[in-house]
Amino acid sequence: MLEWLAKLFGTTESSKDRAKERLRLVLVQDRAILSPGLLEALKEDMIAVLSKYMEIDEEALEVNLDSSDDSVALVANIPVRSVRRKI
Amino acid sequence: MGKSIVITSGKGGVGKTTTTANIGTGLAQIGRKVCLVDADIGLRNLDVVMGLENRIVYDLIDVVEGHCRVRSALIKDKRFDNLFLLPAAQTREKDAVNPEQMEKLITELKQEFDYVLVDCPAGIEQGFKNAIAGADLAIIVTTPEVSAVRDADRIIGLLEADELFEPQLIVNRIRPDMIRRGDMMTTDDMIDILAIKLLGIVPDDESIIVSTNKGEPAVLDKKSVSGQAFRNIVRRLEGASVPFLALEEENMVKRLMRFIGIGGKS
Amino acid sequence: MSKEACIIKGNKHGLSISIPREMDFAEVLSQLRTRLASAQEFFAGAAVYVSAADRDLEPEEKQQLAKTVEEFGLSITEPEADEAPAPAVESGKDEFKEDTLLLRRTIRSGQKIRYDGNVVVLGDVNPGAEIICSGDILVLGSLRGVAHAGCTGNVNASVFAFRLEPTQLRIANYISRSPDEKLPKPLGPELARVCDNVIQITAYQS
Repeated sequence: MLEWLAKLFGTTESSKDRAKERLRLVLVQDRAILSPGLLEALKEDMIAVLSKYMEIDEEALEVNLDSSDDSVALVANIPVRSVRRKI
Repeated sequence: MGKSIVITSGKGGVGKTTTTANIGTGLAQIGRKVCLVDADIGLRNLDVVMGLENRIVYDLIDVVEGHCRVRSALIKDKRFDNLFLLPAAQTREKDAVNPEQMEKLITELKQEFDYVLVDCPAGIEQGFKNAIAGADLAIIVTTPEVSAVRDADRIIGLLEADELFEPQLIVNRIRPDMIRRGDMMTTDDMIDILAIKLLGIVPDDESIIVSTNKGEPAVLDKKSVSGQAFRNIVRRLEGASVPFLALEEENMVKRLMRFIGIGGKS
Repeated sequence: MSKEACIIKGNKHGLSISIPREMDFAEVLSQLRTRLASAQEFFAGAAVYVSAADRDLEPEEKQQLAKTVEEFGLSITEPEADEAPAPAVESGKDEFKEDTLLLRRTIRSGQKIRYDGNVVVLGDVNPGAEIICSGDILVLGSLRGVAHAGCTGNVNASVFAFRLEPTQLRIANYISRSPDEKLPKPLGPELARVCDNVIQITAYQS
């Protein structure tokens, strides 16, 4: 009965929305996997930007695309050696 | 010099061959000189869909291997004098031909035809690489399913890697009733995700199966909804601006329900 | 019609038009037109070769011939030795071996059987399958694919099947295809052979 009411008032997610959401996630993963050079390029750009503000350990820098069931996240582990003094 | 178009999808069974047959026949119907090329070596089907299977003597492989001239392998359509089919070899495999040979063949055909439509096999291996060689434009066929759209996305990426940009999308087997219920992705959803130009939407239609049974493309059937969809696609390819079929309209009941505030999102 | 006639034959290279030596050229053209018109669809796309039986055609006559043929969407090709015929195993050989290949299975789409001799199939030959041999073909089942008997030029070769419903039949250099309109299913065994320059199918009587 509750389900029926929920349906009537449109609070349940329709299967097409599920489809679209799943598709969106799977494509983020696919596209990320498609270009192996992407993460490398991203790393370099990040280093360039971050270096303006702090000295980072480039060797230990880790960037990964982490996907769990319902989200994809860019996870970066950036060890900082020192923060530049503000001028 | 004509234009070569590859019809591809990645996923099998979404309607590439039917689409190729219908667009080709539609273009021939409005007077264009059209050559259909079946690039699905080893699993040929375009001849059957066109109803020309009993006329095949030579095939694509005979041409690229130099056993005969292109002209002797081309099969003229039953209905249109300006429509021809170059059949695939049934008893060979995809690697019997390479992209360079295909490109040469397509270029040769483009000299003589306004349109050269290449029916691509499913998959992303050798057969796909052969089919896209020499193509000026790619048409991607998909259905409103997660798996088919995902494969379409992969194909778009591969086409870009091969410098074939701006592919156009045909969404096949749309079920308006399911869209209304919210159980099928809409074309907007798919375009939103794939971010490419929409060329046409084709409703799921029993007459397609009937027309394939008979070997007569549905585009010739004035009464068929999908036939109308394909005629629209043909006109868009020719540069006309044709509105998309209104398949996703709400019915009266639903509209009324929404008006009085129940039924939620549509 | 006079005894002399312009003859169009299909062979492994395409269509060959033989023009008798004595015939009036206008008559040649008109006969050609009637013949091509009667089977336009079937001839479509084929290469056309002209053999003029010791008759030297004037360049103008050649041009007129080419024009007539073009009206039917065909064009005349100069005979070429290097254009190898796909369906034939080996050409120019009249005799054939009497060896027989026995296949105890159904030949499916995409399978191609080539054999120098006779072929007997204890099963069906499905659409999309091909049997090409220099001798006779016997199918103890349904023949729905392509069959080419006497592929090395033996016009006396025959094709037999319990149900003869081939996509295409070839015997020696003759080709015939199934008609586009639906035919009643054959009721019993049938035999195809060349008679009067065409492939004829008759009910098989033992």
